[in-house]
Amino acid sequence: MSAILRIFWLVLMEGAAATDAARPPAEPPAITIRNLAHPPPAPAPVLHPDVVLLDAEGRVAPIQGTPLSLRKSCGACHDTAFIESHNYHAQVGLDEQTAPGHAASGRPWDTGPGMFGRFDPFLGRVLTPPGEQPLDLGTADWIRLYAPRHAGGGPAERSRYHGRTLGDPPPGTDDPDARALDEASGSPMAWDWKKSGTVELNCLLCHLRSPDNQERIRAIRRGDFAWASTATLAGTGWVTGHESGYRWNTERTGPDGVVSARALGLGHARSDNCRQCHGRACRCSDPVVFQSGRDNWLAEAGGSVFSPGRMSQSGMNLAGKDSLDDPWDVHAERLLSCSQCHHAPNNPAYDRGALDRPEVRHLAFDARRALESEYLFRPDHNLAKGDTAQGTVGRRFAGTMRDCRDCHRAEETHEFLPFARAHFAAMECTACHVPRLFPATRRVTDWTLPSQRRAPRVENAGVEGPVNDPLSLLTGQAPALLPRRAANGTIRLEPQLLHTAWYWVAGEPARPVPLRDLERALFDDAGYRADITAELDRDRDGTVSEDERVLATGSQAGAVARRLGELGYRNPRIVGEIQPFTVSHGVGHPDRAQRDCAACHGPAGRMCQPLELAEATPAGVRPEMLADTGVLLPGPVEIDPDRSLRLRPQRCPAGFYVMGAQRFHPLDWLGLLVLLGTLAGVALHGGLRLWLAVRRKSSGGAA
Amino acid sequence: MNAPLQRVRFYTLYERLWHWVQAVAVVALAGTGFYLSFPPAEGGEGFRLAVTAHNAFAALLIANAGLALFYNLASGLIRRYVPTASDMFSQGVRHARYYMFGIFRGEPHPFDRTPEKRLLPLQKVTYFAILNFLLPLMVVTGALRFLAGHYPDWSEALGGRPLLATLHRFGAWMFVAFLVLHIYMTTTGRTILANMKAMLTGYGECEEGSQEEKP
Repeated sequence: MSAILRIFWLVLMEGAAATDAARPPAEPPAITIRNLAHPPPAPAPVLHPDVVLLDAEGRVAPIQGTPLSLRKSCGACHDTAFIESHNYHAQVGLDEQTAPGHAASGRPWDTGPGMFGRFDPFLGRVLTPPGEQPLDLGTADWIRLYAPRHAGGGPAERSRYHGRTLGDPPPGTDDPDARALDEASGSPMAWDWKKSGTVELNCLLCHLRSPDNQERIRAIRRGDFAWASTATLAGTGWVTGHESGYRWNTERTGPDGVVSARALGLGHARSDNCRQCHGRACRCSDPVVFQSGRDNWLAEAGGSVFSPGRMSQSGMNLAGKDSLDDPWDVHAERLLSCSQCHHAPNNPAYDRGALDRPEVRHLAFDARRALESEYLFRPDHNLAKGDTAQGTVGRRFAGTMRDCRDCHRAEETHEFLPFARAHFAAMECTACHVPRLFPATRRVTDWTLPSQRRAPRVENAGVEGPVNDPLSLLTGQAPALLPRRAANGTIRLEPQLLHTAWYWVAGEPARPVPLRDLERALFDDAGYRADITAELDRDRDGTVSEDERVLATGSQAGAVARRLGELGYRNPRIVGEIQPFTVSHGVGHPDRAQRDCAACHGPAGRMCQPLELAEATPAGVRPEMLADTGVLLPGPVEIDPDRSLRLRPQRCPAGFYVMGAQRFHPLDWLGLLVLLGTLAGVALHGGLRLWLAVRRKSSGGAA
Repeated sequence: MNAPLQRVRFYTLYERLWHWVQAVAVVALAGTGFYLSFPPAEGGEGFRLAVTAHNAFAALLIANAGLALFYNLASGLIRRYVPTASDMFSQGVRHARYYMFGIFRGEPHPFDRTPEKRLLPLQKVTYFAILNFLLPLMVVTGALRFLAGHYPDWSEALGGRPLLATLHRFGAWMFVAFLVLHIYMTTTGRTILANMKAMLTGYGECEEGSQEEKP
C-alpha cells in the first residue's frame, strides 16, 4: 500500500518538474571565500609536543651528525611500523606483488598494481621482474626514478624478494636487490646498500608545514637514501647541504636534542603537502599558473586542478577566460582540504564504523570509535580513497571515502531533473558537474620512435598549439562518459580521460624493450641510423622531422624491428594500451553543471559521438583497454583512413538505456514494419473502396 | 429491401468522454514518446517538457482506464468485450470476408450494430488483445521504467531497463498501428462518418428491429 501511495506521490512530483524547470537555478550558498568579510582565521596553534630528533641507533642525530631516522624519532610516540605497513602510499604495491603475468592489469610483465611493479606508460619504464634480463629498473633505480612521487617506506625500505631490509639478504645468499643500472652507460652495476642506506617513510613530507621536497628528491637521486628525511629539513634551516651529505645546524638544537614542534612546523597533513607529489598546479592562491608535466601529473593525466583560485584570474591562457568566473574546484573554494575527504579511516572525527557488516545492520550510527590517544598512536594511513579507473593500488580500499551523496542531499537540489534517482543510480555526479576540464592533458604517449632526447611522441588534448607554450590556447575538453564497473560490482557512467600508449615488446612471454636498447637500435652518433632515416624521411631532406616521427607503415615498423632483432630481441612487436583516468576533481559551481538534456539524450549526445583517441596510430596497431580499470568500452576502437584512432560508441552501452540515444532495435524494425504494413493496407483498402464507389456512382450503381 | 433506420443512442456521455480522453492521451503519448526516442540534436527545454508531458498523459490514461474498468465491471458491461468462440471463428471469418471481398462489391454489412451489440466480432477480438496484452504491456513496462530509480530491483527482475524500454517502444509501434487501423475502420460504417458522429454525439442509426445478426 505504501508503495502505491509513493508511486502516486512520484507521479505528482514528476508532474511538478516542468514548473521547477522554469525557475532560475538556485544561487550557490553564500559562504564562499569571496563573500567572507574577513580573512580566514589564523591557523590553529601547533599542539604537537616538542620532539627529539634521533638517528637509526636512537642517538640524538644533530649531536651525532648522523642521518635523521623518523622511524625512531616519531616512533617514540607513534607506532611507525604500523603506520608504514598500513599505508598504500608507502607500499605502492609492494604488499600486492604477483608473479609476472598474474597482475590484474593483464600485462605479462607487471608484478603489482601500484607504482612498484606496474609499467608506467608515461615514463616507458618498468620494474624488471625478479631474476630477469635485461634490466630496466632495479629496486635502487626505481627508488631514484620515483623519488618525486614516493614518500618512502615500502619498497624503498624492504626487499620484494625476501621481505627484509634492503641490503640485508638472508645469510649466505646473494643480494638480488643489488642489481642496478648505470643510467649514464646503460650497463648493469652493483648497488651498495650499506653506503646508500634505505629511504624510510618520510613523515615530514606530509606533516611539516614547509618540507624541502626538492632537496629530498635531490638526495634520493644522488643515492643518499639514508639522508632523505634529513634533507627534507634543509629549507627550515635545521640542516644545510654538504658535499658528503648534510650538516646539522647544532646552534638551533639544544644539548638534549629537543626541537620545538612549532619551530619545525609539525602538524596535520595539509593540502599543500599532498600537492608536492600529486600536482603542484593545485596551489591555494591566485594567479594559478602551471605546466603539464610529471610534477603536475594529476593535471596532466586526470585534468585535475584542486585549487580555490578563479579560472578567470589564473595565469593560464584559457578560451573564454573572462566568462570563467569559477574556481578550479568548488570544494577547494569551500575550504575543503584533501585530508578531509581522504582521511585516515580510524580518525575518530570521520570514522563511520563498519556499518556495512550484516551483524550491525540494525544500526544507523555506531558511536564506538577509537580514542584520540589510540588514533594518534596508530593512525591508519590507508587513507580513504575513491574508486577510480587509475586507482589500482590498494583497490581493497576503493570506495572507502565518502562520495558526493554522503555529504550532499542531491534530491533536495535536483527537482528540475526528471527521473533524478535513475540518473543518480546510473551516473557519477561528476558526469554533469564536471562538464569541461581546462588543463591540457596527455592523450597519447608513443614510445615506438622516441626522439634523441628520449622523448616519446606526445599528443595532448584540450590545447591549441604546443603544450606548455604560454601562447597556446587551452580550449578545454569534455571528458568521455563511459561505463565502468566499480569495486562493488555496480556499473555507472563516469567521466574519463583516455590515455593511449604504444611501445615495443619482445620475446615470449612478452617484455617491454628497455628504452636504452631501443635507442641503441635507432640512433648512431649522427642521429637516427641511415636505414631508419631512409624509411621515415618522407620529404627526402635527409632528416627525420617531428612530423615524420611516427611509424606510419608496417615497413617503417619493420625497419625498427629488424634493428631490435639484431640486438638479440626475438619477435619484437608494437603493443598499444588504453589507460582511462577517472575525473573526480574539477567540480565547478552548480550553475556551470550540465543541465541540457540533449548533451546526452539525442543523436548529438556524448554517448553517441565518436571520440578521437590519437591523431596517428603507429603501424596500425589497435590498442586494448587495460584489464584492471573496470572501464567498459562502449564500442569498437577503429583506425580511420587518415590513421587516426577513434572510439566509436554503440548506442546504449553495457546495459544502459539512454533515452534518445538508443540503438534501433530489431523489435523497432518489426514494429515499424507492422506500422508501414498497416498504413499500406489501409491505403490499398481505402483506395479500392473509393475507386469502386466512384465506378459504381458513374455507372448508376450497377457495378 | 433494408428495414427502415431508426436513430438510437449508442454511447452514454461517460463512454464518449472516456473514449476521447483515451484518444487524446494515446496520441499525446505516441507523440511525446516519439520525440523522446528520437529527439532533435539541438538542446533546449523540449526534452524535459516531453518527459513531463509523457508522464502526465500516462497517468491520465491509466487513471481513465482504471475508472472504465470499474465502470464496466460494476455495470456488467464488461461482457461486451469478451469474445465468444463464434466471434473468433465462424463470425470472425464472416466478418473478415466482408472486409476482404463484400465491402468492395457493395454488399450489406453482415452484422448490424445496435446499442446492445455495438462491438462486431473482429472488434471484440482486437479489443480483447489490446486490453489484455498490449495495454498491460505498455502500462507495466512504462511504470517500471518510471519507477526504476526508486525500485530498481523491480525493473531488474524483469530484464532491466534496456529490455523494458525496447518492449515499451515495440508496444508503442503496435499501438500506433492499431490507431491507424482503428481510425480507418470508423469509415466502414453505414456512411464514412457515421461511426465518428456516433462517438461524438452519442447517437447513431440502426435498422428497426435489428437486434440479431443478419441471415
